Amino acid sequence: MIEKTKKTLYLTVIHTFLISVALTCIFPLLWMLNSSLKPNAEFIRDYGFRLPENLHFENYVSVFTQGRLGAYFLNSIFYTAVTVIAIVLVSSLAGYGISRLKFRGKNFIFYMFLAAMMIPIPAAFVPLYVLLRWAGLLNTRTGYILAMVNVGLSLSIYLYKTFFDQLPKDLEESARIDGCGKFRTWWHIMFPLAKPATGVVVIFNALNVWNELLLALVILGEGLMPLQVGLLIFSESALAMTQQTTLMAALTITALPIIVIYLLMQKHIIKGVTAGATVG
Amino acid sequence: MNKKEQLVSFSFVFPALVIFSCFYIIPFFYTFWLSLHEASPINVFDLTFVGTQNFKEAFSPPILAGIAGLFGIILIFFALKNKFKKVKRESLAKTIQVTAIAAGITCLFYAGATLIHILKTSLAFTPDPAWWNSVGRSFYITLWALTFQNCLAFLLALAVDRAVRSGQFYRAVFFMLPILGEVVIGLLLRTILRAHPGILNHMLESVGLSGWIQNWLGRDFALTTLAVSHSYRGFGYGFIILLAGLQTIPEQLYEAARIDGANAFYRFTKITVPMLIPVIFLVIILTILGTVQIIGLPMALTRGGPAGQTTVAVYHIYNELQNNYVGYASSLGLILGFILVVLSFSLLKVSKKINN
Repeated sequence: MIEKTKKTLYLTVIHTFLISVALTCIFPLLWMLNSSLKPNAEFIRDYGFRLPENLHFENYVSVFTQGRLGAYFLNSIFYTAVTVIAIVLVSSLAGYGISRLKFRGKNFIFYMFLAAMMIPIPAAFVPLYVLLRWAGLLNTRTGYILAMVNVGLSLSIYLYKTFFDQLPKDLEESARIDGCGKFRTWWHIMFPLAKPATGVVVIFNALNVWNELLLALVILGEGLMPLQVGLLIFSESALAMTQQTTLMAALTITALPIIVIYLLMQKHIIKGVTAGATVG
Repeated sequence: MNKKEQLVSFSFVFPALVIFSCFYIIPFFYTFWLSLHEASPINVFDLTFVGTQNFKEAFSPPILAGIAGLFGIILIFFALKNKFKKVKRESLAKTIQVTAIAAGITCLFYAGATLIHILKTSLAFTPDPAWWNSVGRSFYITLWALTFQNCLAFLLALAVDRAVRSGQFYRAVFFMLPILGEVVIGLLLRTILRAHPGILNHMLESVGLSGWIQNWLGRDFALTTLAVSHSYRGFGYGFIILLAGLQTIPEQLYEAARIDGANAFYRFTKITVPMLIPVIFLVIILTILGTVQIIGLPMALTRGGPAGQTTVAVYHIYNELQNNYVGYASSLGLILGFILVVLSFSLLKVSKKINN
């Protein structure tokens, strides 16, 4: 009997701890969403703690019309989409090559990619700036996208390589006997088979590009900035300073796509993160 | 395997290799070159060779002298202990030994001369205190992250592992903040912590804790607020990795210990912790790397202010770059990168040693 009450007490303490931390995580986000849905006058009155009397979407409208967040938003979507597609193509090619084909210096190349994950970014972004400027790629979408592709490359190649290593070889052999070339084998057989790996690569890199700030600040110029920089600029505008609710609306717009994708694809994301951690 | 076939195979990695060389390898080596130069403020390509000037400026003679002295002592120690025996040819070993002693003495001499010079000029040397202050701030935040954030992550992982085993829900919730991006969290917390409309201060007041009201982003508190905000954003990452580690520990081990009459504390210290050592070190290394590299959070939360109180190392490098001090910025990048690489490698070594 005593044993049982002891156990219940123990579990209650643990659950209280967990739930209180979970609440501190969720509460600010709910508060942000809640505040973004009310007019500023109401927000000033109740500090955003009461539910809105009526749902107001004016903040979202003014973020796009006056705050010009739409352009940043489109930029971000463009960068994310192009970068992720490029990473998937380039890294699945390389991962397949390293896993299955034979050529000189293969292992060296693979370890070089792995070693690159150890180089910290602060040691690399200054020369990148000068080199891009020299190449005329500063302030261009191409320069930023290529740099972001490079950032995601190492981990993606590793993920594809380890995935291809686990696949049985029969399929490719029968393809080769049928006279299928290496590139066609990759495109028609191996790449479709690697869907689970592609899932992890896509989500992991999409989040990475969506959240990137430093390289965007270093490489891009005024009109080309992605949403993260746009948020910083917007937060200093007169509109966001005087009406906090518009800032909350802008933050919600940035956070919502990530949260939705995250809740749908949670398993893939966590897989990618743990994979990335164990390599390093 | 003929040449042509090799070439076709190689073409699979070729695109990756090109991007990688242009954006990683060349910049990496270019940093070393760049760090020995300084650009003119108007044109970045107008480089003048300044030698080790940038490093001297960054390091300030006392620190440089300290490093030289330490290096000299290590060299002489190795030479006297005859650590070069492994070199096969005896004459070569002797030469190396003598050279090492000579180099060691030179280093010590340099250190001594610098120290005397400094004492003479009464410590008037502080070339770039701003840089080392910013590094100090980064490490202050790292300290918070290593203690507060990682302890929280560890406790949460243990709790979830004990009480709810799979913990889908908690995993989803705790990992939400790390993926939301530094800017979003930074701006949200800025709104909550601000002194003027002050959401947190309002909350404190309404629960009767008026005494706790602070200017959280003001001079005294900004850096600690930044550190706590960073920990708040980041603990989910360590939590996920630690939980994954905890769940790989086989249940039978605990069962066996329980049958042998081991109590909970004993099971924790003799099974859980030793099994988790590699994971714990992994989390420590990732925390250090992740924390020293933050820039979005201080930018969003405080803009590096008030009065540069939250300008962390990478932020400082970024500011130098904005001012077109390209050579100096890359020297600072190199120094920071070097510190990080040395730190993480030595931690890896320690982890391996403990494991054996």
